[in-house]
Amino acid sequence: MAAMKQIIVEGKTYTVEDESAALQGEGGTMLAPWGKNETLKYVGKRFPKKVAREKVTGEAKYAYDVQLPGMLHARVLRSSHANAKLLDLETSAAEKLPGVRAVLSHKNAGKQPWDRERAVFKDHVRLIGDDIAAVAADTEQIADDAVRLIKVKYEVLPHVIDVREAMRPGAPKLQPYGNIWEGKPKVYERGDLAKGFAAADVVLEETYTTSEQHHACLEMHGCVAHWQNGMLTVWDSTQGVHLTRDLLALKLRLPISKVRVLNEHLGGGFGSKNGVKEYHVIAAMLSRATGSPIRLFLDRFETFLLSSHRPLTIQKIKAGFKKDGALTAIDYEVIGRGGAWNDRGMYWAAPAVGSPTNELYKCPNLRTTNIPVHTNLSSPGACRGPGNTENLFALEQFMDEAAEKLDLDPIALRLKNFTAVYQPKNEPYFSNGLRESYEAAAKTFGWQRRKPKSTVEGTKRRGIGMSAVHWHGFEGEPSQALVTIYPDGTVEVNVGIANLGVGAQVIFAQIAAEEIDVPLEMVRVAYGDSAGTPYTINSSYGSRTTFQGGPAVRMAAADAKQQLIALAAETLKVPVADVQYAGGVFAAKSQPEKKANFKEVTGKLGWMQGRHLLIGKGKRLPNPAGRKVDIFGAQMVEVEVDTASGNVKVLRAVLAHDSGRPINTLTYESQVQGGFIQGLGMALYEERILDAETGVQLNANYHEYGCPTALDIPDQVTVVPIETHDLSNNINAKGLGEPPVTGAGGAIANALYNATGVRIRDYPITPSKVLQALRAAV
Amino acid sequence: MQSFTWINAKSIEEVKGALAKHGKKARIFAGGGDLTTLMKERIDTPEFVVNIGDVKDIHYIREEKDGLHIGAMTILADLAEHEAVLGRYTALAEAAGAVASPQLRNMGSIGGNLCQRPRCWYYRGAFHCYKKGGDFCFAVTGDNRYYHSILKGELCYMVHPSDTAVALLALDARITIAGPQKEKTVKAEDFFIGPRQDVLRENILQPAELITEIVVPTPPANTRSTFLKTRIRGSWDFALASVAVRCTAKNGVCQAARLALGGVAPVPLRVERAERALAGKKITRELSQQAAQLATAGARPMTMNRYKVDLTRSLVEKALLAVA
Repeated sequence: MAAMKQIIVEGKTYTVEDESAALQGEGGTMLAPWGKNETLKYVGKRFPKKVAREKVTGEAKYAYDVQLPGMLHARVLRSSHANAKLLDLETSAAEKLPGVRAVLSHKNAGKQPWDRERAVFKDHVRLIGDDIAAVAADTEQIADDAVRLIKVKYEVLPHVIDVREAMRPGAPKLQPYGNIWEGKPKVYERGDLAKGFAAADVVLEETYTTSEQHHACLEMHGCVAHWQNGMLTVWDSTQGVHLTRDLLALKLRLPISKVRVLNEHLGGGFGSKNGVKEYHVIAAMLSRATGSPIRLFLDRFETFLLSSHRPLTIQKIKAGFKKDGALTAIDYEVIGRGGAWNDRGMYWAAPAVGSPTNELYKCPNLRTTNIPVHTNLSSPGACRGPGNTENLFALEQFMDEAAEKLDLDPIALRLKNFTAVYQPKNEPYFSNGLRESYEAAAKTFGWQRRKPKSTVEGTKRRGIGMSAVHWHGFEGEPSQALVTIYPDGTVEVNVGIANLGVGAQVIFAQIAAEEIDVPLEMVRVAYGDSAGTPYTINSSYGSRTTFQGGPAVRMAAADAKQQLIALAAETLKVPVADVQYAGGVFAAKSQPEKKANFKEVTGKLGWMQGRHLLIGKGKRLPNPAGRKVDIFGAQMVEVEVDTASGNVKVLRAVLAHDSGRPINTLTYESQVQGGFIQGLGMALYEERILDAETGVQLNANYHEYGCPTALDIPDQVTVVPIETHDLSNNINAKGLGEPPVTGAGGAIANALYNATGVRIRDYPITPSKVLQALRAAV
Repeated sequence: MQSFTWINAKSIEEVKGALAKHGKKARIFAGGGDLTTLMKERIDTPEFVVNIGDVKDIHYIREEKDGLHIGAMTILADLAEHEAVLGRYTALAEAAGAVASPQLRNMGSIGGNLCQRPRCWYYRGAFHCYKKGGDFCFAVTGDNRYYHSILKGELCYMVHPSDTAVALLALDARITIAGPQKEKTVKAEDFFIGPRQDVLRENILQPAELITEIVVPTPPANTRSTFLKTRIRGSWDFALASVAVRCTAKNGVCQAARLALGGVAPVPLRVERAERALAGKKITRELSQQAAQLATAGARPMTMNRYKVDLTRSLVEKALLAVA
């Protein structure tokens, strides 16, 4: 029975699990969260990523760079229609091309399923890009030529691209239940909506749309697969080696022990490289068919087409407020554009959108309606801060509009509706630094200098705006880590993660160095091989690599240190309880002259001494029950709008983030800056543009898709860490990678309004929209 | 990319020989920024690619008595930073500096920049349009928000992508063409042709011809020029609209002006009506606005690009005030 305690939040009493007892380690070791004012040597300091040098010098080897003896290259023939049945498929010309080693299609590999409704190779394609056939050849050039020799005869069927059109009666029906996922909208409700609106002094309703943002990873999606002697080895461009391994074993009906997945460096993931896609299975099948390693990477066009994207959303927000700003009711509806197939993409299309509306502001009467809609397109997916980003781009502009209508300062309105309780489950947050984030951001930014209207200089208008930041934490899944201490005193942290690029390696090294109290340079982190690492995290998504793995690493380090102290006791010939360790020296408390330095003790380890190595084991336990982890922040920007060109330039930004304890303040800053820039891209530039008639993507290349360049980023991006003392885990971390994206859109749109007096509710805010809005406002 | 034969020419004679031999099957590689993209997407599938990067006598910027002589392989970065170009042919330096990104300006040549193919995404995508021998312009009924015309569009509604072309029109440049016949020189504005004249190409070059030199005449005294471009991002993007203007003025009174627009028509477009309206008058805000109106008179925006009319007018007005 867990130890419970009572806490009072906002005047109410809640019964929650006691964190110090809940966080017991292996064998009952107490490992309570670090104290609020605890002095730490390595944690909370700036350390560069261990791989930074390799990356900038080009030494880092990505899955894309893997070259194996005898390796063949694969290309895939894809559907050029959005909905069609294959009447005929003729592969003989491709097979005859010199250098071609295998051609697979539904004709000879039709039994390999992809999921419950489709095979890997389709005979009825539902979107442009669906896999039809694959070729393995001596060179990529030959494979590409061969794919073009395959003749397909299609029976073209009606398709639908537009999300509203797909909802109309008479639209081509893409699934047995219709075009709304599983037949009906998903609705969440609390309180009494009608009563809430009746009590309101002011009611406001607006509609916002967000664009399909791509992950746009520099390293394209793909892998090298080698099926040899019944064992499948895959060098994968992935966010998680264990998830890829488990899903490949499942899809190919292989024992988990016969699949090994490796990843040393990753050229971008942002949510698009979790789990497996068809290309993984195709590469494995081609390797099985040819006996050779297969390299299958999508090209840039295919990467845009098929690697998933943030969904297009249409969000209607209606809310009632009291004169003082208190929310009385929110009625929220989101329509999200999904793909053709009934897969996880439908969850990201709309059901994932809306949690900030449900949670961020105190509102007793609320309804959220999520409408994911099938269209003949590829599926959306999780894209850095999925759901919350789309929702906050809308909600935070809405709050700005409401503040103006209520004649309140935007921050005052938000504070009026502040809540320290997670409303859907009525649980208090472990920590909520939102209030502190507003205060710190406002102070650093100079928010009080905000004027209701802009400053004008020629065609240039300047304005400032802000947005809240919100991301959901996790409950703490099972996570394991190992810490090995070698005879020479070096330490190896062994974790099952890929290398998403956020610096988890240096963070884990810091945690181990802190707990054991050894210099950071003595610690190495082994990772990126599913066969040699424990299950630390299935895949790095949800901003939880540190949050999940960090506590397990600390526990493993503590376990190793316990064993080391026992070894020191043996060396010093004193009881274990008599040993103390500080500054690299073990000493007997009772006889201070009895001492041994770190390496003298570790020197007793290893086969030459007739001993085992010292291996500390650690696992992460679930968060203490009864409370919720959420992540907060506030972002403020100043923009300059050129009313002649329609260009919007963000001049400076202040980003205050509450992500619990910052473990590495250098990588912390880069994460927040990078996330904000990705949000800026979505706010001003990025969107998947489709030909409305055919569904063909028109801007499926880096140049026209248009991520922000160095010139589009503000010179000043100031990061202000808000250090809340979170007790959900033993390292006080909450998660950081995704929340910085979520605030950019609202802050920029609100600053644009402050500068020009026009509202643009349709992201991205491109020059054409700005010019049209300005013209309409004249 | 379809396989091809690479021909590394060392002299103009070798280039001419290769072009004469392979005709329509050959393309000139003059930096390759555009050609390689077209080839990777298999929009263009030449069998022979003739590199002119190693041809010795076409990399130069020389100021002579009659004006500025520029070898066709001169890279854009050099033009953008050249002292004489910056000083007396400012619009050209500014246009060269506004092309794409630093990497592309380091690779891209002036000759190649003038011979770019359209950026229309239907042309660049899987659509069999006029430019590819089809009989439809998909942009008319499709998505025409960025790189499509508001002026002079017919059959094909592309916009000419070159920034330097716009500057060269305003600076009254001449383009020298070599080929099987005797070398010839044409005015910059006669080099470019619209879809009505030939929908399959954007300039007068025949398959066996190439640009060897560009000559910009020495501007009269009291002349200033400038190039302005609006694009979506601060770098890399093509012009949503651009303008180049050259103005000779005395005591604030315009004696002669040349004005050209980019990003709005299938050709870089000289707007003589606007030029005439300026001659002999003092350039004021009002006059600039009038000229801007005249420059865009007759505009027929497409379904999604009406904003380009306002944008172009603002640019013309700003450019005129800058050189007045």
